[in-house]
Amino acid sequence: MTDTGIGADRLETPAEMAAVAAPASRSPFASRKRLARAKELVRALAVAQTSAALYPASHPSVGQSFDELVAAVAALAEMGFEEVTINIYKQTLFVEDHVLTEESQTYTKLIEETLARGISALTISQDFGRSDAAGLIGLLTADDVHDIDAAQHYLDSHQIRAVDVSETSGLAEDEGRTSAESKARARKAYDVGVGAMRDVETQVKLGRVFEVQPLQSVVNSLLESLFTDPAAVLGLTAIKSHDDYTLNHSINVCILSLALGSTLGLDEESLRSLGLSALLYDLGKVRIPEDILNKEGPLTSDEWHIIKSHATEGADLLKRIQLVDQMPMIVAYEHHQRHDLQGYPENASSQEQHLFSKLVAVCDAYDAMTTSRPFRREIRPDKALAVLMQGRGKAYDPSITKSLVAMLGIYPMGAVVKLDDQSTGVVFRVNRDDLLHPRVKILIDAEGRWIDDPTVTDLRLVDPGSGVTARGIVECVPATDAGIDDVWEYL
Amino acid sequence: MIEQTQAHAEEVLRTLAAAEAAVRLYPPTSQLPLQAVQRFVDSAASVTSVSGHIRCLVEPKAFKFTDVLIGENSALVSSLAATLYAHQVGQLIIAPDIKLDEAMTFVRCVAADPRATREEGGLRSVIVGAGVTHIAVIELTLRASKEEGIAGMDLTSAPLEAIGPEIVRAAAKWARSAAAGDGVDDVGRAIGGLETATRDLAASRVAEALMRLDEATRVAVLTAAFRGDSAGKQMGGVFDVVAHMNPATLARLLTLVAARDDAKVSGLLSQLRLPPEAARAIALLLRPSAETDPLREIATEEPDVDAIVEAVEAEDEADGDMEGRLAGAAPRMAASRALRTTLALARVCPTGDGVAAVGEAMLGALRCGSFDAVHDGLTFLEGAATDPSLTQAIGRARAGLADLSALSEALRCVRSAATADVSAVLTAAGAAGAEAAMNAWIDAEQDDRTALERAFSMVPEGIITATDRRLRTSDPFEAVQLTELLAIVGDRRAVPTLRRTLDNAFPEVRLAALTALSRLGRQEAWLSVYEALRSGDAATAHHALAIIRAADARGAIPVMLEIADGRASGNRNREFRREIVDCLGAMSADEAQPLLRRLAGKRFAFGKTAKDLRDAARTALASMDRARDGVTERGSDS
Repeated sequence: MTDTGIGADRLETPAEMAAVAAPASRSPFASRKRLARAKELVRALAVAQTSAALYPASHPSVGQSFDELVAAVAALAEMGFEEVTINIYKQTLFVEDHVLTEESQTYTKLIEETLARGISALTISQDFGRSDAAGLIGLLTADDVHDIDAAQHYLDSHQIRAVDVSETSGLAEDEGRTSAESKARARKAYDVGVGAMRDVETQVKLGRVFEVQPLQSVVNSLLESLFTDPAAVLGLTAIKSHDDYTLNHSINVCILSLALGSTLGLDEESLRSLGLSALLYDLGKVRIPEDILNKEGPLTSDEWHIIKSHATEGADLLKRIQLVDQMPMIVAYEHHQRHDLQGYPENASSQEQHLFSKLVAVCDAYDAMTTSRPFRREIRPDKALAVLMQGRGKAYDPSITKSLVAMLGIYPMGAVVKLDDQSTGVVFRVNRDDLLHPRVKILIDAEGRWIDDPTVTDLRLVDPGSGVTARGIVECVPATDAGIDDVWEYL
Repeated sequence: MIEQTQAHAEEVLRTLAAAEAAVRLYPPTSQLPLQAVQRFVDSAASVTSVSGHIRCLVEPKAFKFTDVLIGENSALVSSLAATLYAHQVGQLIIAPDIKLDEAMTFVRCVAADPRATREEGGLRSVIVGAGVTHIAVIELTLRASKEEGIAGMDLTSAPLEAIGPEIVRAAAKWARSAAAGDGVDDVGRAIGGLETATRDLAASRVAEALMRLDEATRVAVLTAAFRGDSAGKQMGGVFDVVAHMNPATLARLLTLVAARDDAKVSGLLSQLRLPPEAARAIALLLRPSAETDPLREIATEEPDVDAIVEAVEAEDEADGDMEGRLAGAAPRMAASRALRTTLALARVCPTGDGVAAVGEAMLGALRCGSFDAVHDGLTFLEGAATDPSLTQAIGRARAGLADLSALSEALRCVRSAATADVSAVLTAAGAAGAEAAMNAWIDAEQDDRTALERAFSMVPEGIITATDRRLRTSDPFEAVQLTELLAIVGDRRAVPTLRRTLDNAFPEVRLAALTALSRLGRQEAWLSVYEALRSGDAATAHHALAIIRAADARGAIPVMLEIADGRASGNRNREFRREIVDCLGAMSADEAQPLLRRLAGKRFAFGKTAKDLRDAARTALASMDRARDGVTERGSDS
């Protein structure tokens, strides 16, 4: 896809990530208006193909259908697309990476005729004209074209330059996008981060000043990995640890904050500052006795008062550390103040929380809820996101919360889900165009057998028979309830 | 990660090969073999402590580790593989916790003549007999096992699909035999019959095979294993196997078994022989949560995911402003917030460290032009000054503001700051503040100048001192601006400076100083202007006169009379006297009448200038008379 407004599938820069995650443009066709134009393109193509098959070329209906097809392409060009690709993947129609469920059922003839010619991806460029429309429909109705080579030869011989065809849609390639190499690199950065945070914790406990540089390196590594392969880094947040909860939690919050910050469009300098803030925001807990931090059962008011002091303690620890800027101190101080300022420490000036504090607060809440602690069990990711959504405008900033959900999906990467065929899997990738139908790696079959070589299933795919998605999620289950220990292993 | 493990495994094999070569090549008295074996032990320990067993297949001239050939390009490793192959070894397994003695024994056995070793029963039997427990070899054999069922399988390499059904059969056999009295544990026998180094590996593979079975069967196997025989013995072999499962997997399995048998899951867990860490992890997973969802105000019902998606996709008003919010969130713009945070901390616990942090944050906020925040900081410091222990820290914090570059940066934002805040900061910054303000005023556009000028009136002394200092070295252009600045300050303390400036070498500066003095509007400033009439510099005197005339400064009349009469020591030229006479006339100075009449009445005036002076006096008198008549007429009219 080449879209002047929105980046390609692989998100290289924060700006690109922002473009795909902003509410209006999470997917190129996230808004109703945009989606309507994508659907119109497919409709116009199907109508033109049918008209050309039914009537002679001179029939007015044929000419009119070509005009409509040209107009549909022009409408997409108006939105900023230099070219647009119609993909057919496992009998399901996509415009770019956006699934068209209903159309996959309605335009089966278009799908069949296209696949019969060895074509599963049709790319139409913005200078598509009437002659190109006639040529394309000629190709889709030609009797002597049975494979991709013949299709390409047909386009060449008819000098149709505004249409390109290929036999792979590119959607299948997504599954392997996170190479083992980038996954390993991201994991290394994660482990180094845990080590660096352990050192910081030790130094602070000993009353010494800790070094900032190793933490900056951790943020830089995570950021680099995030720009290269966002999925590999986001997947790391599935790593949960009972023993090193504080350390893992701070790295997870750092990753979530960086991903959310880049999604929103923060520049690189700000992201580095945000990353460091997200690593250090809970540092004050070092000064809280562990028996209170891990206490099982309700806290007394004195204990609660001590717990609450971690925000000021953290800020106090950070106030004179030679950091690049003072955002870590600010975030440590403000992260529990809440969006409605009803939290702690008390905000006498009624000054709104800093954006970074709001970002870290929502990421902190999500990771904390989805991690098991000695005094409580983890909450399923979908439920945790529902809790965050309920807290919009109260504890959490509404726009930031929505952006987090849009980024993670309703069933985030690493969520363990039960499908309607009773199999159990791990969400492998979130589909930005359809938050309820992610790509899932099936690990356990309906009878409870662990699958030797798990495969990834895209839940968006439509069953040609029923016209609806072939498989769906029945419920999200805690990973440990399903008997799965290390979800990250499967991402 | 896999590549890293391969590299580690290769290193272990390299050290083993080196040890084997050393034992083979050097006499028993040499220390080299021992050192080489020690290196192998160290290398093996460092790898197996992290990633557990190392298991390699032995090829004729290389090893195979996770389907990758290693050592084929290393003569040493390749030679070790060839030696082991000659011993008819198919697999080499190195377990954690290997000891130096057994490693030495193993290496010596490998270095021995393969034919002789075979005659003694083969390498496996020789090393087991010699007490090697943490290194195992699995020999290639074409012989079929005499055992049946799971005991007849090579559990380290048999396909998992083949192992699975055998466990089920073994569990069923246990259930039958236990019910009859004496339980027969084939799984325990199969695993127990292996040398120590391979037991863990075999148990892990059996556990994996168990996971490939459907859950109901898995539950049935473990349920059977918990059944005791007449002696109370349970199926320990399956217990060994499930101990190799992941904690969550085993926790789920135990939960299902407990549910099936209506037993307590904690009771089942206590019957297993698990490593302490695993037992603790499983216990954590199985125990009920102290905080339930309702207690945490989390709804128990399923989330309405469709509603969430709809809410996420809906475009709210707040969404549109994100760009502006991001721009406002830049860390470099958060200095005032940082100062307010340090202030909040210091107010809770005012310590020297806290005051120092406030001082540092004040400087940061100052650089960003956050005068209001810095003012808050100064107010705090003022309040904290009642604590004697903080005096030094407060002094340092305030002194920190005397940073010319920070002040200069701050004053770029003066237009948006409140005058009281700017004044407070400039006052606290002392001479540096005044100097920075003066510099800023010189460089500023008119709007910023106006903002600065409002602040100057609150801190005049510092500005005057700084300006005085600067005037001594300024070029004429700057000096003219500085005199203007002094006029704006409007303080009588500026008079001495301006008076001194009347002696400046450059006429434009002197004239500017005169103008400034007149603008000060103070009596002592006017006296200086009057005195300037006597200046030997004609331009200065003329400018002073022009100012006096324009301002109708009647206080100058005595000096003017003195000059007009030719008594003044300085300006005696008749031209200037004529101008003064003109001015006196224009001012209708009654006290000048005697002098004017005397000048006008002169019958003889020699020279043009003398005549001009006389004429001017006459004109002045006439104009004064007209003015007086006009006043009288107007008076009589009224």
